[in-house]
Amino acid sequence: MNCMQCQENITPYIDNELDEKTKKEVTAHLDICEKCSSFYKSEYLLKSFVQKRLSKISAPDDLKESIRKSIRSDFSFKQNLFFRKKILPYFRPIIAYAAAAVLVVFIATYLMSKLWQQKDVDLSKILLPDDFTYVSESENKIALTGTIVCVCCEMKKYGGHPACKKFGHTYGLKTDNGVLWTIMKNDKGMKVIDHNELIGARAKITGWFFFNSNYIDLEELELTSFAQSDTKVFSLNK
Amino acid sequence: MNSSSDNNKKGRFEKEALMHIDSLYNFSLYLTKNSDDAKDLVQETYYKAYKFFHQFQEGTSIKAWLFKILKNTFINLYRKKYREPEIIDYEKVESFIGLMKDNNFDFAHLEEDNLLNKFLSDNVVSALNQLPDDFKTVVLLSDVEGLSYKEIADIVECPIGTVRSRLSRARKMLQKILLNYALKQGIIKGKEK
Repeated sequence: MNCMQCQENITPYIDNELDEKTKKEVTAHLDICEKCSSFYKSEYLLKSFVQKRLSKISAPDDLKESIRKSIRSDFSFKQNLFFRKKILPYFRPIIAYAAAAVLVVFIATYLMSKLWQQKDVDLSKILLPDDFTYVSESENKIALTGTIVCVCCEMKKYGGHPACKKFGHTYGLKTDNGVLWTIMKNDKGMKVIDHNELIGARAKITGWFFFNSNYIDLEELELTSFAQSDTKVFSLNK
Repeated sequence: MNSSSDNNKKGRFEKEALMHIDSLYNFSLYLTKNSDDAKDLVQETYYKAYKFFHQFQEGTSIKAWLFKILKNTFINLYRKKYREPEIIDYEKVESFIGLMKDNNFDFAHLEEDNLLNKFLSDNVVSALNQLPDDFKTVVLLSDVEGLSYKEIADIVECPIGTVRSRLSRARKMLQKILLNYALKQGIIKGKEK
């Protein structure tokens, strides 16, 4: 046996996997060859070193106990590992996304409802002056005092577009907090709109207030002072 | 009659199969690298073994049979690509062995100077974990579990010659890795004869 043949057989020689004849040949060669002998010694030492150092951990007691129980009950309570390892991981992200989506929708709905509530509450608080009174709170029927103005002219003063393209605001009331209200062009409203001389007059108005469009559906108008001296007594019901 | 043969089966299975639980758990730990998965894998292995116990051939090694079930279960459950053999970078392996030849050290030198004891057990574990799975498996089955080449060949489903060459290469790689550790940790000094 030459060195190459010997070295090829070293691993099975160490593991005692050679037939008797080859084993004897290897032993004989190792006796006379220093190089192969050190080759053998090295691998043999590694094997015993690994064996010695890789200490075996014993299986946890709970595992042993649960398997023993499983055998006695014919594995009747076995969980489906295939489902848990192979199927569930595919669905877990979907479940997570669905949960996230539901949460987002829920939060969005909550915030929107808060926002709407706030809008309702805040508008009357922001838009109305301090000295108004509710005639009927549920209908937003309100009585307040202000100055009759031309809404277009007022808007122009602030650099706005003179004719409101959205709501068509014309004549209206400016309350003491500076908010412009437009008088709705119905029968009663037209009477105010038709009287140019009313501009600048102070008036106490009762009517239905529409906060989103700043319109007033007029019911009563009571002039308290006149801007122009030739203004006569004015009545809506006339 | 039926229930007595059933009880008989249970008793035999419990007696013969359960005694290998430590070995199976150890091997599982190496494969899965965490104790929860290792436990699951062992559970599943026993479940399958119990279910197919009638297919076990009397007179053959039940340990090898259990290991084979465990290995296949591992591949089914934990490897992403079903049954695809691991691609081994043979170039890497060869260059490993090429390097070995350049090195003047081998384990015989370490033994002479009584340096082997300076290695930590952690070093051995991490050296083993650096090997490709197929190589690690043969080392564990042969050196730790003491199974024969034939049994290993049966478990990993390859010819006996392949087991032999893998084992030989794996041991060479381990020597190299451990010697590198030794150099790094100053257990041995570089450039000695």
